[in-house]
Amino acid sequence: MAETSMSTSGAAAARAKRSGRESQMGLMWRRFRQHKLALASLWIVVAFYVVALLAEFLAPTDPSAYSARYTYAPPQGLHFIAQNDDGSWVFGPYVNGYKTEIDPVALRRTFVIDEEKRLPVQFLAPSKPYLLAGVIPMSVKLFGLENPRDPLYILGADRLGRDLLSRLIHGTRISLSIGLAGVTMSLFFGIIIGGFAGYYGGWFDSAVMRVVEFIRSMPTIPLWLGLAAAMPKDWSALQTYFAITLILSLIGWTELARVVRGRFLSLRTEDFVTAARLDGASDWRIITRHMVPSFTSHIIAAATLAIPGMILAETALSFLGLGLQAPIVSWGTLLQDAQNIRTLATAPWLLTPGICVVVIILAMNFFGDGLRDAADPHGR
Amino acid sequence: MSTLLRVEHVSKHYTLSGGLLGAERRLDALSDINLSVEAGETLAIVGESGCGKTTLGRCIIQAQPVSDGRVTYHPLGGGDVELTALNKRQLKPWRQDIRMIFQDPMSSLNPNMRVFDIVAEPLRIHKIAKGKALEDKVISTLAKVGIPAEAVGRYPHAFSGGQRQRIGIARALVLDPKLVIADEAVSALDVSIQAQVLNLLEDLKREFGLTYIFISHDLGVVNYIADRVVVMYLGHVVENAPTEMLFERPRHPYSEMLLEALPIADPLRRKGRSTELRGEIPYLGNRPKGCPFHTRCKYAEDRCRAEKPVLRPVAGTAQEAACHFAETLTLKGAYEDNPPQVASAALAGAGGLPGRAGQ
Repeated sequence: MAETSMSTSGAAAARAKRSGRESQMGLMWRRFRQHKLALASLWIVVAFYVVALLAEFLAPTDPSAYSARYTYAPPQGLHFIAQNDDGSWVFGPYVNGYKTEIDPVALRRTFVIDEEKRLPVQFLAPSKPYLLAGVIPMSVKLFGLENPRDPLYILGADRLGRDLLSRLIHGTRISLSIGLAGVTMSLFFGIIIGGFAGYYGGWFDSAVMRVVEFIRSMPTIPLWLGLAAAMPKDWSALQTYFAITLILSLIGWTELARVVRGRFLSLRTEDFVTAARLDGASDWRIITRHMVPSFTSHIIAAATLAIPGMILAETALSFLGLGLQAPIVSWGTLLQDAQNIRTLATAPWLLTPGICVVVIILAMNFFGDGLRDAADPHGR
Repeated sequence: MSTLLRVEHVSKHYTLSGGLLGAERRLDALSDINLSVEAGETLAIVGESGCGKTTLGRCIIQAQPVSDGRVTYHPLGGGDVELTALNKRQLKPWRQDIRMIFQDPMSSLNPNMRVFDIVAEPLRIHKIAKGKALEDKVISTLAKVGIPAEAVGRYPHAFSGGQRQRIGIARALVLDPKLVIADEAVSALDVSIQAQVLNLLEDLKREFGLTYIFISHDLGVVNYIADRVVVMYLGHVVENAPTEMLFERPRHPYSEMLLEALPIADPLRRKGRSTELRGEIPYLGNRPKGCPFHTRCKYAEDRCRAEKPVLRPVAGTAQEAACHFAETLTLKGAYEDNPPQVASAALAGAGGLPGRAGQ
């Protein structure tokens, strides 16, 4: 262990190890970095959250701006190099324009990419003033067309001619934040309830564990459906958002409460906790100074592993039309558009949000696994 | 010598729930323990695993409540403090005087705290020192156990088992205690490190005028460090004797059996000696009637199976034993085939392996 870690970590870490001044968190980070897949997943997760944070800046158009002229417009893609008819080369990002074609069989009007038409893409394009993350006033987007009237559908358009890329970026914000908020709320209940049960034990512990077992034995989807259906339809978007978070964490806390209780239970009889008690330390001091620091890493790992479940649950609920409702944009509501087979046949790009879901869930799981292994090197 | 601590009629039992429908069962871990600890002595508590020696230690230091009986502490300044009658807050000041050293140096130090903070924690809890004074006290205490000042910023994982145990000792001593309970303090260590730590404990005892309760299963270690030995069996004290006397002529068959099990390195002398402990230690919840030891005792008679002997002074000695035949039985001590002078000669050597067991 010593040799491999010496070779893979930097000189600073090696120095810290030699002098033994590295904290538990430092050790954990060093072990985590050896897990390449987990490290790569960490960067993917970070990238997704950066997108969520900077949604307004990254999204080229307003996610609710519709255009009847471009319903189900196919993805334009982003191009960088083109050859003119005369053989000369053009560099710089551009997208193709559209032309209309009549399908001779169905007599339906469809859009096809017009290779001839090139619309140059401009970085840091000026736009209508907006508030980044609702705080910072800005009037520039990461990229846009030089002529804002031209169509920009890099990932295609939906039924109302809205830009899928912009909607995806805004949906990322909602879907990821609902995962975080749900886990935070679960963690809050889980730590308080599980902590009490684990530290004091006795009848309270048994009662809590029976409740947890009861909740976990209920089939989750019908329960969520029932709760979500009970939500008044006239609630505002924000109210629905919080209601959904609450519903998700109503079940989510049980898993975290179990983890927290288990750690408390095993630490309670640990010699160093007895030592603190024999030092005359108060319960509060024992919990905050001696017990909690010993399992924060486990809690972080457990919480990370709980986020994908939340995201999936939200997506599933919204997909079924019982979670978030339009006009809120989330991955689940976006996938709702891809529900029927005819739409899928004409506009398969509407499934892109599904790819995002798969990627982030996998990344979160690998990242959480890596964290757990790093936090508990003996548990492998 | 004055009495520092008195344990009177202490019992500890656990209730085992029998599941949903089963009847509750009582498990007696300690029954009617009486002993006293004199200031300045080292009292060893020995016995096989499960005899209740650790439970007794934990009941004395109030890590566990006793079921019955009293533990009374007599501070050197005079007075009686009945520890078993105090609540958590009232107990706190006395926690400075009675400290504990743990068995496993791997789990007794918080892995998330630097060594400095581990040793400083008791001082902070009792608000004894702050700032520079706190720092000086911690560093000087660690220096006494041989941990250099430049190592105090490290975490426990950077230390060896012996070093960690010394840090644990520093944590116990930083409050200037009067009585230290060492629960198997050296049994998790290598033999050479054991000797080092035992010698350190001896030195510290002299320097600070400490009193030790030394809980161990290793009679070799006990012979080296203890002034007096309490032998426990199935939650009972079966013999209480000065170390020399116990090793010379035990008064309880169980003590004899433990002494017989001491390893002897000389194969010629070892010949014909049974070193096995006869029989199994009975399950605590299913304690035999009469003398608790009669199931394994080769001297047992009908009286032993019917009548439970009490711990009583053995006529003509300073020993106490709980055996009906303590006076009449001639039990074999450890010195018969292992002369004591050899033992002390070996220990006189630098550092010396702990105990006479190793010669």
